[in-house]
Amino acid sequence: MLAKRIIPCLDIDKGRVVKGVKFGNITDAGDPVENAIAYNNTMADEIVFLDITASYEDRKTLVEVARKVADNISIPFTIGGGIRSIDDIREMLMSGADKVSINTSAVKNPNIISEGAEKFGSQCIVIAIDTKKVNGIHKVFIKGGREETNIETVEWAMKVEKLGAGEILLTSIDADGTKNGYDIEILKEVSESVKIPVIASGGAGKKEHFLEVFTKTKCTAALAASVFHFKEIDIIELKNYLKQNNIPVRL
Amino acid sequence: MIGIIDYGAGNLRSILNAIVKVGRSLNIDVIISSDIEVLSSAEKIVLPGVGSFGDVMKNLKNKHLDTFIKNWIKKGNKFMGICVGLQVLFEIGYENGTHQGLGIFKGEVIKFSFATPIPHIGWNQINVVKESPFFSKEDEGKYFYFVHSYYANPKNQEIINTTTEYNGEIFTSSVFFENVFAIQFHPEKSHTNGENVIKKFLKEF
Repeated sequence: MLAKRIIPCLDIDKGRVVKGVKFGNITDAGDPVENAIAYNNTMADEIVFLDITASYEDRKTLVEVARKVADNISIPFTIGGGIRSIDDIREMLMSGADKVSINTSAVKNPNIISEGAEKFGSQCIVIAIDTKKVNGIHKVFIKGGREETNIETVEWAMKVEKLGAGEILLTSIDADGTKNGYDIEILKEVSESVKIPVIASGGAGKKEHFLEVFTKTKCTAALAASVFHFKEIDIIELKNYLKQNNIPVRL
Repeated sequence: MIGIIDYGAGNLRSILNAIVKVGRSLNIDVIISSDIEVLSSAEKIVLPGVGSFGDVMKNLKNKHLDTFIKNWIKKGNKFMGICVGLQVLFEIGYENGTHQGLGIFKGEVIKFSFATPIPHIGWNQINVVKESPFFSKEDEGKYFYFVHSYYANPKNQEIINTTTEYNGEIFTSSVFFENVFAIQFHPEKSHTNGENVIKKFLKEF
């Protein structure tokens, strides 16, 4: 049976791991390669790296990080942040990333999804969607959550599926950093509206939140950052807990 | 020496890394090449699969590697196919149109018919159908990393080494017949379980 995936996320800034809360307040959390090796050895199913600054100069640093990570771990990893073109996708994949995650550029230029899927295969195109409820409607936000769009989240999710996205990484801005649990409402709606895998993101604070997202939504993976970084939740303990509650996990 | 076929597409870095790493620990050299002469000097050949069925076949044909692989296998040399490298061993694939495969094995490569979500992404278990140098009953239930929307449907059931179940749909996750071994999952992404499969191909097979 397919295991539900537990995915630690590392935010990268100038080649270092950082952690912000609610898209702000940044603190340093170490070397990305060392972090990746630690997760590789403690049963993480995949790793996601998000370059939060993604300026042109930092690009080379990120490519170097991807290379080193690829040489040192034996689980899949995704790189996102500032991917704007087919060349950016190619560069990341050639550096050893298994997938790229695209957010703002996909909204601005949806063709990057279809072109990327055609050139490299759907399986390596992850579309990251940041969502926030505005006047009762879930809207897509871009530029790291700073800019609201007119696009409704579910509609956008269905569109990226149609264009050839292989997975959706759905982050609720409302839940992110709160540690009050995943945003079940929107995760349920999106995961039931598409036939591609949806990764839940934003709000994990305790083990019960992972169980909740796997029992109440069709999400096949759950992502979290700070609870894993700061060792508030141990991935192996979390998986044992999920297994006891009849969620299939790799142990 | 182990030869990895480089048909000039996609990212082979991970699989190459993984095989080199295991090879080094066993004192076995690994080369990556698209040159038939170089590959011919190898003891065993690996065909990694990145991209779609049609693309892989097109790239192999462009470099005359399709004929090389067919002859290699016909002569009884040892061969391992990975992911699309398993799929192209069959007669026909239906990813983005209908494409001829290498036809080493009879059967077609089809899309998941009812299991969702698609692609099948993540860690799934194997069910050992027959004992082989690669899998025994002890490996039953072990997790490997999969990423695919299509799978091979062999006509000859005897070649099936393991199957995997995905939301009710059971598919062939590895085949083994005489000198040919091929897996649908990615050993380079499957942590120690994947490393052990590579080890067995390099050392014990």
